[in-house]
Amino acid sequence: MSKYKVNIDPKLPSEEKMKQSMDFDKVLKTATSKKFNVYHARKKMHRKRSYIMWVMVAVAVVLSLLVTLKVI
Amino acid sequence: MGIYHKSKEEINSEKIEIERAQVNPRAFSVLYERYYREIYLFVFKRIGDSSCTDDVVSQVFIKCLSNIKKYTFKGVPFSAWLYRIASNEVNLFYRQSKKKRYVSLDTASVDRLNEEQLPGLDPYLLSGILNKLKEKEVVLLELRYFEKNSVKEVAHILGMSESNVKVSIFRLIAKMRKIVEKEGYE
Repeated sequence: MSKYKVNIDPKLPSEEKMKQSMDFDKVLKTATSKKFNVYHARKKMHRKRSYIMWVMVAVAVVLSLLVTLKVI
Repeated sequence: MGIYHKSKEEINSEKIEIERAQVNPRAFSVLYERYYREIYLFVFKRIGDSSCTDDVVSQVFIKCLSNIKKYTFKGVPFSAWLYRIASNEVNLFYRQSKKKRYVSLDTASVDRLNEEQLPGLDPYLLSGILNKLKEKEVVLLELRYFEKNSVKEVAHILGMSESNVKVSIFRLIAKMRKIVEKEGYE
């Protein structure tokens, strides 16, 4: 089974088609909306929290290993 | 399409436009209009479907505009940053949609690869070889040979060092040669 869908000499979209899809106002509205920015700030915070959680788990595993092996 | 296909004056005048956009997001429209076509084609060649391309391209510019305040000018053309965001968005698209990755091959770039690195290669053989490569290797091949970017440009887009890109390309070509020899394409 092929891994990729290979297209030889694909037909590129016309200039008109590309111009039609241009919409700066929509981009501006979304990028400056409070909802968009709050969503991304929350996502970033969530990533940070899960990173801290994994670090804590790793420390706990190492400490418990050391205790089991009577190093500490 | 390259990143360094611009003069120093052009790069510096772009700096002023970026600073304006950082203060007033509406001023970003100049950069949006300048790069829309390039980014659209960059994404289209990797997705192959115009409606999905529209969505991904608008996401690229939304992310770019919402993070423009964090952008720091380092003497590198602004498009380097845009291509990096576009490349990440394409990866995100494939991760979320779980679709088969789309690769565009044009005969001219295959001929170039044929002359420079792999004699006896044609687009049909190359598509067979591509299926034996990893995703990262295909991305590297697309940027370096299908889109004719310099090593410096590829390094900026992928966030790698120049020497790392050179080594990766060297290994990739060696791997492709091995595949050709093993499969007996020549």
